[in-house]
Amino acid sequence: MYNIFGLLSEHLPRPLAIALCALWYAALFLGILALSFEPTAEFRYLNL
Amino acid sequence: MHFLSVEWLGWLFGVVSVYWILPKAWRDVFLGVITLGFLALYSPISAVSLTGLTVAVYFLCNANPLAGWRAMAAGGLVIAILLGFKAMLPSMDMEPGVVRDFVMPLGMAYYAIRFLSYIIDRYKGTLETHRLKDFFLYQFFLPTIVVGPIHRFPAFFNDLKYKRWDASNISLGLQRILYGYAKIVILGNYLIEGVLASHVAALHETNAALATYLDVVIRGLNLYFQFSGFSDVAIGFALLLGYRVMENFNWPYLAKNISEFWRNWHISLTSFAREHVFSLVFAMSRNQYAAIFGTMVFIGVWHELSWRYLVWGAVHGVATMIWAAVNNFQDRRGIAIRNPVLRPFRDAFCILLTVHFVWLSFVIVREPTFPDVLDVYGTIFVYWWL
Repeated sequence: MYNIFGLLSEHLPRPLAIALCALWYAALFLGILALSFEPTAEFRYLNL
Repeated sequence: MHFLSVEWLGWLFGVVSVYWILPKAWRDVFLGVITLGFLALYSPISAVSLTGLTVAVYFLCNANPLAGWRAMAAGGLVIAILLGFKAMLPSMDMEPGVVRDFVMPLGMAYYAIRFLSYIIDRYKGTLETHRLKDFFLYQFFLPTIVVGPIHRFPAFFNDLKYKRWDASNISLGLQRILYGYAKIVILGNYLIEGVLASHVAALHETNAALATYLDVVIRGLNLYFQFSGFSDVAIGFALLLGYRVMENFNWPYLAKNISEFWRNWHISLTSFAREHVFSLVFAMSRNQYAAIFGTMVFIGVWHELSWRYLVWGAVHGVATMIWAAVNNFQDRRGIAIRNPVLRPFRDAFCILLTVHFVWLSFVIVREPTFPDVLDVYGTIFVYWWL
């Protein structure tokens, strides 16, 4: 599930897989930055 | 400093950097001391209770072979402290607050399970020889101290002895942390709690039943993204330090039955419950259904010692018993859909049925009172019949 590079490099040339992987991680990182790192709601799965 | 804030992330990378720069012999001691300092700063009661329990359990279990009374005393001590704090909880303000955060140990339900797992393994005699320092480092392992996953001592001890700098682990760890943040921030907070919830809020005036149903869906999805996101961050953080921590989720909302759901949801807890609670009840009762029910009730009250969690656990227990009975019946009669055309429809129906059961059951523990729970069910189901 988490190994996007492994999945891409099986079907695409290695340089293209690296480029797509880099774009994917950059998009995720920028998305997180843009939406603020701070969780908007306190997550508390357990009360204790 | 909020957990997962920018400051927290900076602190995490600072800890990882210093950890790998230090001489090998000092790394884990540094990590243990940092965790103790973290607890002392944010939850002094946790630092005191965890230190006391670690020393007490280690010395109670420090015998080979371990006598039954010693194991019972250690287990009883852990359970008594856990139940004591859990019993105090309903009398306190349910909202996180300064007083409650100061009084309630951080992550106690998690480390109670770690203690019990350790005591059982010591009693069975399956653990390698180790020192108090190793056990202390296991209990004071920073990545998993707040929200798990509940990793086991044997795996931890193995990594403690043999871990080394590995660039692929660092890469995997960073990837997991990024995915964890993406689940929490992009999927959970922004898409589910932000965009989708605001649309649903507007729907309440025109179609209360649909809006209430979608609220239930939103809560179910958000819980998964938040919880699995936090688990990803913990697993990634552990990888940065050279440790492999147990996976906690495996696409649980795509489970085709309730039994499969519980094998894929909060795996570190359910595997403990299956190995120790299910086996124990089954050994005593010789009854599969009693063992299933007992295990699910245990999982329920582990979350919180209250009626609502007891009922939630019992509801899941009954559902899992029904599934087990259906499964046994199908196996005996050899009933199975073998038509390749029908099978995808059967699977889709089973997935939808399971996930809706799970989401609707969360209402029991999310709503403050039982009349509120009935109100939600009434709004969703009765509305369509009127």
